[in-house]
Amino acid sequence: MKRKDMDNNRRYFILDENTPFHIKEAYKAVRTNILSVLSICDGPKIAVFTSAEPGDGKTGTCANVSVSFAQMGAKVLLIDADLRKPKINRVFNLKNTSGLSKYLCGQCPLTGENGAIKETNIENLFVMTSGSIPPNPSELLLSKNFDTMLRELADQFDYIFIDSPPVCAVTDAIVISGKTLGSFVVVRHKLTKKDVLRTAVSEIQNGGGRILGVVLNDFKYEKGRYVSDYRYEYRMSYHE
Amino acid sequence: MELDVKKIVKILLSKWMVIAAVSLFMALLGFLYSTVFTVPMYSTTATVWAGVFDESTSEYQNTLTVQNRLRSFAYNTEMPCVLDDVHETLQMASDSGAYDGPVYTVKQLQGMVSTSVVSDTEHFTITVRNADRRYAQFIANEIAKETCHFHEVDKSQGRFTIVAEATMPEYPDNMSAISSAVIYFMVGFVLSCVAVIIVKLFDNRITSESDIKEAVDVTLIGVIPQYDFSSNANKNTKEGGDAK
Repeated sequence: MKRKDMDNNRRYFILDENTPFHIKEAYKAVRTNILSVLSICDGPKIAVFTSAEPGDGKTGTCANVSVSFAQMGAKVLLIDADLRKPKINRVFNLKNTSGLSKYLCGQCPLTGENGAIKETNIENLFVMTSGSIPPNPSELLLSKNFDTMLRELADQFDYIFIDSPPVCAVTDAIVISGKTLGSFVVVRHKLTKKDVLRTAVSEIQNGGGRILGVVLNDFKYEKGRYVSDYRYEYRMSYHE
Repeated sequence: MELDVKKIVKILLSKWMVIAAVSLFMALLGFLYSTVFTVPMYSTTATVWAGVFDESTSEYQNTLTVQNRLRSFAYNTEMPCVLDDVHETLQMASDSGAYDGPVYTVKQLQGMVSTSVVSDTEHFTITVRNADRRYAQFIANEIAKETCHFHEVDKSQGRFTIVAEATMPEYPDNMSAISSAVIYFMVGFVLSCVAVIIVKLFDNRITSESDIKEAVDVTLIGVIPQYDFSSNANKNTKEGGDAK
């Protein structure tokens, strides 16, 4: 599928009891690896999910990783820091009248009825939607209010995951990455280009951010290609 | 851009269906071309001995001179000086009913005849190629006769003898349909292999973990399989639009 078609046909799913076993297991594997990575990093467990270009699947991946962490029993906050094209509110069917942008402008509280942070129907998972699209998203993310907010929230939540815009589109991801432990870059199978990925990673690193890992999304398994036949068949049939 | 044999083999194996399809298609194309579009052509050869030993002077010509003269005789055979007579012979044979084929013009005869000198001998050959094997044989023998007459009688160049008459060819010259199919198959196979490798070399997209490793030296922390969730109704799934 071409990138512009991804944009037009974008839909999201959330891990639930109907999700196939191998998908849940894949997200659990990502969760396990993220736990390992974050455990060796000092500081509040705040990480960014980004990608090189739009359509690579960072929002969906970020949302489902957050769900997976919440299912583990951790208290998780998912922040939609894509102040230009917010999507997290659509993923979780939440109102977006109040959110990050309004909080950073002092126009809404963090919690409460009209607060930026909202509960979801998934236990332990909280979401801070982006709020209304501001005229100055980069400046808001660069502001001290954002840093302060992250510090405060780090005390209240076990993990904070931030969905950011793609690196090659705007600089927001680079800005946010520098304020957190690092970034997880999501790439899409047979869509993301190597040179674009290389550019995105080097831009984050040049901006002072750290790359914690890469998630390969939308991978189409071919028999014997990524995992051995036995492992793939076993995993697929285990839950049947 | 580095490539090793193992990688090339992997690339080719991953696209074996494309390669097989192209090869089979080319084989079919070759087969059809041979059977439908190609006219079978038959070739037959007569051999003439040009005795260049001049008894009256008891002189032996040296080898180079002999070969040059033979080449001249062979060359003359393809020229109007000989073929004019062949054309007339065909005309007369056609009139008498001895020959039922077309009376080829000199130009047409030149198009179907070829000569060559047999090295280290005093012989040259006359080959005629025609779509009809009978005409090929008839014309080859007539040309042989006419060239002997022209050189021996008209030009007194020595003694010319037809040592081997042209026989009726059994099989056409062109490749059989099967051979054609095999050759086209091999061409298709090679071309498709080259195309697959070139396309893969220029494919800059990430298709595997090794591609990620090649692009950036960063740990792969997980692989999310492709999942068509449209069939699974999910109350948290939203297809674009505004939130409630």
